[in-house]
Amino acid sequence: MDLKKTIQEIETLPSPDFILQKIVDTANNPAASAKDLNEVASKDPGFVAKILKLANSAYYGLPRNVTKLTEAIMILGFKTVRNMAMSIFTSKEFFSFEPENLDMKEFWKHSVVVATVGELTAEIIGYSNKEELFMCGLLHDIGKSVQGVLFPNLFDSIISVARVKKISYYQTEQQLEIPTHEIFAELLLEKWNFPELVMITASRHHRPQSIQNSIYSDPVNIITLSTFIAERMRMGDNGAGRPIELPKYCWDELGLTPVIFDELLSSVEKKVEKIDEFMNI
Amino acid sequence: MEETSNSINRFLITIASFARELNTAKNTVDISKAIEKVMGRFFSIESSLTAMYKDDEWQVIRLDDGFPISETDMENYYSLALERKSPSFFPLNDSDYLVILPSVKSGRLLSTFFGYVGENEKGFTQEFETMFGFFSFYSGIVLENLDLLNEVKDAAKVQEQLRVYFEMMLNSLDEGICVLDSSGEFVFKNKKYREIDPGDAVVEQIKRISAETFAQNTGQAVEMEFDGVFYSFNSVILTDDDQVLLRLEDITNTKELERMKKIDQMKTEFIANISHELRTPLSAIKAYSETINDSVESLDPATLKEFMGTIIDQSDHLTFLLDQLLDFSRMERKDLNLEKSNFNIIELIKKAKESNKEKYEQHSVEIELKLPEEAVMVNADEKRIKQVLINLISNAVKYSNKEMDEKKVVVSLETEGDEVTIAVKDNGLGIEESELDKIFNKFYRIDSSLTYEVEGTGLGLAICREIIHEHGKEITVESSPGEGSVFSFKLDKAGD
Repeated sequence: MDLKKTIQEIETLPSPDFILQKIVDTANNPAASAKDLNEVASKDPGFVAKILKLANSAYYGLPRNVTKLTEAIMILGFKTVRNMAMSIFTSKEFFSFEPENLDMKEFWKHSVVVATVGELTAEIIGYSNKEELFMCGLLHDIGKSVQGVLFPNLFDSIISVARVKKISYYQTEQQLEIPTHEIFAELLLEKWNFPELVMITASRHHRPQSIQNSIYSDPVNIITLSTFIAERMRMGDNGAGRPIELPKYCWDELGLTPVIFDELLSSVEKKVEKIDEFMNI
Repeated sequence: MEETSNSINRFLITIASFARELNTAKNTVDISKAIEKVMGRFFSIESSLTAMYKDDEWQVIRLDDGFPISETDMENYYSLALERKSPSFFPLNDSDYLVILPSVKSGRLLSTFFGYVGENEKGFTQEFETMFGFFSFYSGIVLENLDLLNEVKDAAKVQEQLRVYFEMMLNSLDEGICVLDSSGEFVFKNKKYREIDPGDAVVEQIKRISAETFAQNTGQAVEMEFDGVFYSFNSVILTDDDQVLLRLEDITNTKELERMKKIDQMKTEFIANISHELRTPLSAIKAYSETINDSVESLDPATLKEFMGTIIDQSDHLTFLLDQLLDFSRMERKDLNLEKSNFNIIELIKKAKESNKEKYEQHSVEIELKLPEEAVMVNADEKRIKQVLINLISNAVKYSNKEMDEKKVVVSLETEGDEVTIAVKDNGLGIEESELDKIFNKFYRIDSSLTYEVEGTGLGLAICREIIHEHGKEITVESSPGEGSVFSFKLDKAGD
C-alpha cells in the first residue's frame, strides 16, 4: 500500500458535522459566546441531549442537573464541552467498526483513559492548558481507527503480529514498513483542519524527542506519558503486544519526581473509576 | 482575525493587571481581593466568599455581608471546586451566577473564590474561560509561595522568640557570660558581662583561657586577681558551634568574705593565744607572790631576791605583751604616730641584742653582730625601731632549730647611698614558701595549733611591718625550710 492511496481513502472518511465543527471552533475563538453556540446546537437536539447526558454524568460530578447547553458551557467550560462533543463523534464514527482481534470497547476505553490521564497530568505537573490534553489524548490513536476503518485486514494483521512478536503496535508498523498510525492521524486531522496541537500530539506521541524545543513539546510528552500509564495499568487495549517504555527524556522534560508520579497515579486510579460514563455514548 | 488579536491584547493586559495585584499580596485574603478586583472588570460581583481548603476541610476566610448562598448550599459548590479544580460560572437562576475560581497548584486545591454575579449583561465568552483558567493557575502558584514564605517566616519568628528567651535567661544571670569563636572573636556578651565591662587585661585573659579551652578541648576553671578585683573564669566548649562559652564572675566579695572569716578565726585563736600568753606571767607572779606572802619569815634573802627577780621579769614580760596589744590596737586605728629623731643605729642594735639576752641564753643561741665600728646615724623613731629589732631577734631565737648544734643569729648592717640595710639572719627552722606572704598578717602564727610550743601573740611581725611601713620602707623576708630565714629592712640615714 502506498501513501497516495491512503490519502485518497481518507477523503472518504466522515468529517465532523457542522455542529461539532462549530463547537471545536468556538473552543478556540475568544469571542465565542455560550449563546452563539446554543443557537447552533439547537439544530441537532439529539446531539445536544448526548452532550447533556455526559455533562450530568458522575465523571463531571456536578451538584445539579444541567438542562441547557449554555449551562454546561458556563459550568464546565467551552473546552470541556468540546471534549464531550468530540468524544461522542469519534466514539460513533471511529470506534464502531468490528476488527477480528481487538475489543473495540477496550480500544475506546484506552483513548478515554489516555485523555483523562492527560488532563490529570497537566493539572498535577502545572501545565495550565489542561482541557486541551483531554482532546489530544482522546484523538492520539485516531490513526489506528483510520487504519481499521479503511484497511481492516491491515489493521488485523498489525495487531496479530504485535501480539505474536510481543512488540508494540508502533514497532510492528515499522517492522512491516507500512505508514504508521501517526501518519494516518496526521492526514485525517489535517483534512479536518483541526488545531495543530491535536494533530502534533497524535502524530508524534511515539517520537516525543522529535518535537523537542517546540511549543508542543510539553503536550506531546504528556500524551506519551499518559499512554505509558494507560498501558502499564492495563486500562483498555490499544492493540499492542507489549506496553511501551517511557523514554527517560519524557520523565526529565516534564520534571517528574517519584513523589509527583505517585500522586499522579493515585489521582488516575480515582478518576478512571468514573470513565465508564464514556463507554456507552 | 482582528477580533482575535484584540482578544489576545485584552488577555495580556488583564493578566498583567492581575500579576500586578498579586505582586503586593501578602496572604490569601489579598489574593481573594485581587481576584475580585480584576474579575469585577468583566462582571459585577455583588458579594463574595473565599474559603481555604486545608487538611480536607474548608475554612471561610473572607465573607461579604449579604452573600446569598447558605452554608449548606455552599457544600455543593465546594465539592464542585474540589472535583473540577477549574473556573466555573454556575447559573443560579435566569440572571444570577456564581463564579467559582479555585486556586490550584500541582493538582492541589489551595483556596477558592466564590463571587456572586448579578445580571451578566456581557455574556459568557470563551475569552473569560481562558483568562480565568490562567487566574486559577497563577493564583495557585502565588498562594503556595506565600504559604512557603509564611512557613519560613514563622520558623524564623519561633527562632527569634527562642533567641530572645535564651538571651533573657542569660541576661538574668549574675555572672558575666561571653561566647568566643575559634578565632578569639566575641560572638555574644550577656548583660552582666557588659556591666562588668572587663578591662583589657581581663579580656586578654579571657581570650587566653578560650584558646586554652580549644587547645585542650576541655573546659577551664581559673581564678585571678586584677588590681584587687578577683575574677573566676569558667569555660566550656559549645560543641556544635566550635565556640567557647566563658563565665566570668567577680568573686572579690567572696574573697573578702573568706579573708574576714580567716581573720575571725585568727582572732579566736589570738584570744586563746593571748590569754595563755598573759596567764603565764600572771600565774608566775601570783605563785611567787603567794609563796613569799605565806612564808616570808622562812625565806632566806637570796631565795627571796630570786623570787622577787622572777616577779619583776614576769611583770616586764606582761608589760611587753600589753604594750604589743596597745601598739596593735593603735595600728588598727592607724594611730601609730612616729617620733623621728637622729640616733646611732649601731647602739640601738646592741641594746636590742641585750634585751634578748635572757632569751637567747635560754635557747643557747649565739647572736653575732656584723656592724661597722663607727656610729651610723639614722633618722627614725628610735623606740619603734628598737621594738622591731627586739622582735626580729626574738623571733630568730624563738624559731631556732633545736636539733642544730650551732644555733646562730647574725644581725648585720650595710650602708648604701642614703640608706642602711639591717638584716637579721638565722639558721633556724625556716619558713615554707607558701607561708611567706602570710607571716606578716595580724594574728598569724606559723604554728597555729595552739600547742604553745613557741610563745608569742602572733602580732609581732604585723607590728614590725606596720612600723617599717610608716617609715616609708618595706620589711622583706627570704627563707627556705631547714636552712633559716633572713628578715631585712632599710632605714634612711640621718641627713647632714
